[in-house]
Amino acid sequence: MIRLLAMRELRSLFAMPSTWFILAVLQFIFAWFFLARLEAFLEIQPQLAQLANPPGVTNTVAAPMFNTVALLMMMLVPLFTMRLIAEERRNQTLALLLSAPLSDLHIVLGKFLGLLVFLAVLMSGVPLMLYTLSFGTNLDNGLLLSNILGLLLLTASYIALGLYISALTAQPIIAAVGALAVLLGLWLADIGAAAEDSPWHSVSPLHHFQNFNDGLLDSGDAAFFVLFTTVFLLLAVRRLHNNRLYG
Amino acid sequence: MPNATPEITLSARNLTRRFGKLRAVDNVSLELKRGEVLGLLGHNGAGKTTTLQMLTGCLLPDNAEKDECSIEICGISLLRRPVLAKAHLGYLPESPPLYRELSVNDYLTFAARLRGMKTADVPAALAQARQRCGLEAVGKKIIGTLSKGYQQRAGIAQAIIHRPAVIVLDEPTVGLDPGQIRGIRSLIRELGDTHSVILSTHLLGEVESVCDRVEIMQHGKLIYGDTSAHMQQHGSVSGFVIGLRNPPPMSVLEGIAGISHVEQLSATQFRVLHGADQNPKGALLSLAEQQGWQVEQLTPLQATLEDVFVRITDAEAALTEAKQ
Repeated sequence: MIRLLAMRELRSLFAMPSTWFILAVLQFIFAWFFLARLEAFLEIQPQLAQLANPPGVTNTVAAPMFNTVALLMMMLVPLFTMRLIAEERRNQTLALLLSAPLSDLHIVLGKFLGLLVFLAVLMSGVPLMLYTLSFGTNLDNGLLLSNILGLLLLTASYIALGLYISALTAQPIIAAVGALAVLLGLWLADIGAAAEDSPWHSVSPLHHFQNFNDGLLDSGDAAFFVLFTTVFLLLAVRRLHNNRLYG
Repeated sequence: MPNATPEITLSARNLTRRFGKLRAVDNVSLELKRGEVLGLLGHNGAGKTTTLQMLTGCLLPDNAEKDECSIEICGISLLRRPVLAKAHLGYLPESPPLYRELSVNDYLTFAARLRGMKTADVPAALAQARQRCGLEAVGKKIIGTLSKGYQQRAGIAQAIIHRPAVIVLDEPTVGLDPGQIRGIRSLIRELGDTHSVILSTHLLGEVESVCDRVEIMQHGKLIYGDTSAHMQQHGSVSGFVIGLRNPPPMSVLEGIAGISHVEQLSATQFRVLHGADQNPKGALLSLAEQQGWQVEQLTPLQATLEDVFVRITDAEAALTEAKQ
């Protein structure tokens, strides 16, 4: 049942021309950034070679690229999550799901996984481009994998938050602005907090991504993402239930 | 397996729903048997849609937590085991729940699978639903490009594709042209033979032509329930409409023996009421012949559901006023 809902979500996404447009434009931006980083790396490579322990291509090209994609996702995910429930509510299609033999958890998980698969496809261009470098050099696979894992966890937490905010309203635009405001707020609180041990750092998903970005797999960070995602998914389930209570 | 006594497919007890201070639905109980079409009749804002939303699990009744109310579909409690109960439901809300970017076939397949149909059974069900709702020609079209009438039919198709025991239709013929309305009504009639159908409407003709039973709602309460044939008898009147090209003054008409009331409808038309056991038509016609009133038309008055409805709701309003 969850798969059916996820497939429906994907089908609706790919039925819209704007989806293909966004896919194309983003691949272009990824490629452009990748080539720019690569060029910069090739320019400074002779100087790097004189260092005792020089950073490799994975460190200088891949890590910054993943960092940029993570920032881009912060702006992009609200655009995709805004439709999830708000639009169903506005088009009155929510009644179809509410009167179907599914629990609210099924509805929320179906939508969450559908969008996660879509965004994974959207981001898959990044590791594919990076792996083309393996024709000429040795890549640090550990660093790449930790970045991919971190990016997926980060995206999942963004989707969960956006999904919850989308469940609060019947206007997709308000859902998008709301989710963007919260994500930007968390990010600004993170970079604005000067103290190293400020509690603001620990609530920002992007801060927890930094360790993954550096190739450090910290179970604390992973737990944060899992918790963050679960909490907002459960809040969305609760909101859908309240939909039946308050109309 | 036709049973001697038709099984009860839907039974709801003591449904109440408040929105703020407004009691949208007040202590409504309903029962529906297999093979029965029930019409829920009422003015705008009478609580029809709210009632149907509760019957389909889109809205919880106020007292759902306590044991005061219950909704059972095919004997399964909708409030306690919603997932099981909803498998026997088909619901068309006020505005059809369509994914505009999908094709009709994709959408109906999704609707069938969503209600727990096995993949292997879907193509046959899809073909049948399309044939029943007249959607054969538009299967590959995108729903957003279809006309309102076709969209409404797609909405009905999603409610019946999984052959549910109970079909709930909220104003199914709204926005359709007269030809389509006839088609949809005969479809509902046909569905009523094998399934239970409950539909809400404010069109009285619809109740007259398709429903076995009528429940009238006003201010959230059921104020009248009977078979639709009984309901028509309930409001029977004796009288006729007469058209006279050269009419006499009203007082002359009123003076004819047996006529209790005359009402002028237009310059040449009069609505004449008389006692049930009298028939002043003959006297009136011969008088018209003598005086040269030139009879154009003589139509017996038929009690429409409209009359019945107005009478019942008026009586109810008078009753509540008297109480206060």
